[in-house]
Amino acid sequence: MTTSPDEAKATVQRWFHEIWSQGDEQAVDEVLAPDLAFILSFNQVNGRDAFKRLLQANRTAFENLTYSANDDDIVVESDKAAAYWTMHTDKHRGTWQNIPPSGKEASIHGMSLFRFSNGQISEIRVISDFYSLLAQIGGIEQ
Amino acid sequence: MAYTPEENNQIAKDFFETAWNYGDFSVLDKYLTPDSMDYSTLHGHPEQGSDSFRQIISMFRAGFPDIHLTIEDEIYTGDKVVHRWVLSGTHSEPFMGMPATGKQVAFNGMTIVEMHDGKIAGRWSIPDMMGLMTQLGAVPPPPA
Repeated sequence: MTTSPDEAKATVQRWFHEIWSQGDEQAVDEVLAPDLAFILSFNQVNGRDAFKRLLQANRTAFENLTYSANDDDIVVESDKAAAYWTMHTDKHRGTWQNIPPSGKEASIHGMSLFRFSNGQISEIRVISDFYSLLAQIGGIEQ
Repeated sequence: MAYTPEENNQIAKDFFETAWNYGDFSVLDKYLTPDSMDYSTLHGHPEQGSDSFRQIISMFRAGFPDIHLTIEDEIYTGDKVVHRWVLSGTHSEPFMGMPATGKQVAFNGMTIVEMHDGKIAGRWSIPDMMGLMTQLGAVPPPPA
């Protein structure tokens, strides 16, 4: 069963709004496959429980963490989608990646590649300006 | 004449592979619209044209003479093409102020292009700079 392009876009928007920007764990259960793979540059998280822990850890460390993507910046083809997104936090308020809270505001861009299975997201691959984020919160000198 | 998504994808592939793997910038005039916008420049501000793109490619081809772009994933629909790619090469010359380390690197990235009548009108690109910098030894890897 292939997800329609409109359904896929709506699901991707739920990922950004409900899951990441609101931390809604019910949305996690609805939108993400139980055996989801969340693949980052230095880390891979498998399954909803581990994902929820990562989600809450990031939302704790960053105040008012918000992710957004314009509908135009979401590209859907068959069971795959890609999105160009922006992340923003009002304040780095908790230790993250061993970096003590800096109090800094930060924002970066990134792109994610999604795979769908039975209407749910089963895989997310993320490429982001992680380097720039670390520089903004004092983790590295650029 | 309308270009199919498949044709758009082939044009985008040709553009990036030729520019990166051969340092052949004739594809810039061939495949960019006159007012083509680059949204992922070195300096961080959107810019018309290809100056930043040329600079980036020249920088990498100088520091990694064997640099090679491999496109690993493609999504194309309507007027958009998305590539997930890997750039790999040997740091055998100075690069971004770093003397040659001889290290082999392979870092990921994603690029989206917007096509108008078979030409590239807009480009957005996110490279995994953290991956590159840790492989070069310029920064420590993040904690596990």
